[in-house]
Amino acid sequence: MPYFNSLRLRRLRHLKRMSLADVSRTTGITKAQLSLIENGKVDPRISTVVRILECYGCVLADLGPSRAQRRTMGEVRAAADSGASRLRAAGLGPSDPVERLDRKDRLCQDTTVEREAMATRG
Amino acid sequence: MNAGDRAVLALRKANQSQDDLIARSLWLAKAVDHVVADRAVLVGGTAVNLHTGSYRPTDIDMCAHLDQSDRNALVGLGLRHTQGDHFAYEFDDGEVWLVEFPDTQVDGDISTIHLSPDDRLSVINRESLIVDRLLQATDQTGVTFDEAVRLCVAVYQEADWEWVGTEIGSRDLVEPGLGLEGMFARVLDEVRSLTGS
Repeated sequence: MPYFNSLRLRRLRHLKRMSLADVSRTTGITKAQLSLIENGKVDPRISTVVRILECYGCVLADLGPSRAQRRTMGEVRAAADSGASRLRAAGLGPSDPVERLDRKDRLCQDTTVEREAMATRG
Repeated sequence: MNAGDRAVLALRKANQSQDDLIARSLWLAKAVDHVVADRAVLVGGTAVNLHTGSYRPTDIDMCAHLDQSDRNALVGLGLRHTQGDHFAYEFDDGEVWLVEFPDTQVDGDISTIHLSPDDRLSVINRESLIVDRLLQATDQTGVTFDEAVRLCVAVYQEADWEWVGTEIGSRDLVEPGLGLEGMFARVLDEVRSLTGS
């Protein structure tokens, strides 16, 4: 899995209304390689990513500011408790898994396995 | 200790977390991550539950590229292969949890949870999860709208809304037909109305 959000790289290309062929011509990187990079199938060198970004008039920061967050289990629990408390304060009850599965049914998705698994849980 | 041993240990911790939905889900996800060659990232409802504490996920969704050796490793760990990249794990107490791999990569940024000094799990981060839920809500069903509102209410005070707005704006330019910006505005209106902010 690449160290950057490769789908965002594809969105930048779309924003610039460029095809893979356009980018390939400008950067010298093959279309196949560009496709692999955008689909996160390979970990390109930073210099390669920079070369692609230059083609869009962008810099590494345009791949999005890092939203990296590091949390301990204690912090995760505290956030979940705080979120649940805010939901209660807003008058919102817990999410209903049956409602979500019913929606999937309406979309013609098979929910048999999920319903069976749910039945095993308290 | 090799990855297989670490996975077994993580699974044991998941089994021991009988009354702790968050711990059980994270340790099961970590067990999976240990045996899959690619980095597995937790996404979907289980990730939402880390912020709302009340999602009650029906499965564990993870993003990773799986090949046959990964599938074999998951079965070797004790998961049952159900179909495609879907698996089921039965805990010692009889609870069955589903583990699914809906995508090979995460469309968003990743954060890390330190489960123990030696165990770190990658999870889609808060702001990217908001964007993901807003994208789901564009299916115009009440259920997904309510879920997006729920997550936004839960994280309203901490989330970086400027970043979310910018991300949504860039996606809307690429796929204007989705109506993502309009959905974002509708959800925020509802959140403000519910929270009185």
